[in-house]
Amino acid sequence: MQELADEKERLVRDLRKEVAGLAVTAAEKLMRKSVDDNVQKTVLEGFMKDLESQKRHN
Amino acid sequence: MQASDRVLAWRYGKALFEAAVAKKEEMKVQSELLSAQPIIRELLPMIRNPRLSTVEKQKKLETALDGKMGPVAQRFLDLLISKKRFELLPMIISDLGKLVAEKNNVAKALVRTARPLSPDAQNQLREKLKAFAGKNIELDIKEDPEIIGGVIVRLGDWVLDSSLRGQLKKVREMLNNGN
Repeated sequence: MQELADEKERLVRDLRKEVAGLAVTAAEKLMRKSVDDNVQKTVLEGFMKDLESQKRHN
Repeated sequence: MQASDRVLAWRYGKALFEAAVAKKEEMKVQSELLSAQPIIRELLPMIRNPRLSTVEKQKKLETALDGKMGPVAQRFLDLLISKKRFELLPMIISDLGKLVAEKNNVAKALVRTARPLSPDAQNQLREKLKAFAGKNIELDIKEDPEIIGGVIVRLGDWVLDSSLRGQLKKVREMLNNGN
């Protein structure tokens, strides 16, 4: 019984890993197509805001 | 390149920095060595030539540099030739740059960006990093489309990753861990 439970756990783990990989790969492909200057600007502004808040916590 | 070369280069760099600071010429020495780098690279085969004596190498180097070096930099290059440590020069120049920047309270930020940064964006980033680090910032910007979007900034020991690739990596890790 323990072996079966271990095997099930391993399969779930592997499946989760595979689904995660597929989802992230798909997201990456989408992003590569859709990232433009506006997205870059937004990400950069977010980064600079984060920098400011980190400075406040330093 | 061995770890011992790194240590040795640092020692030479520090010694050069101290000699230059003593003459208040650290910026001058750094700039002379940086501008001479292309000439020096071309002369490397001559400097590696075992058939030439140390004095011959020193003379050829001095002639090629055509008086562009001040006494501190020229003596240092001669020393590297006589100690057979000329190969360390690029690392020494880099270490000298770090020491000069530190003295002037300047930190170098290596920025990888997915897309070109406008001059305005560069200024804003420089100012934010200056406020973050408490130092003047010199940006070294390289474009890297592989990071998809955003920037990755290396500033001293800090790596600040806002790239979309970095965010995807975090998502992948979260999903793998079942979060």
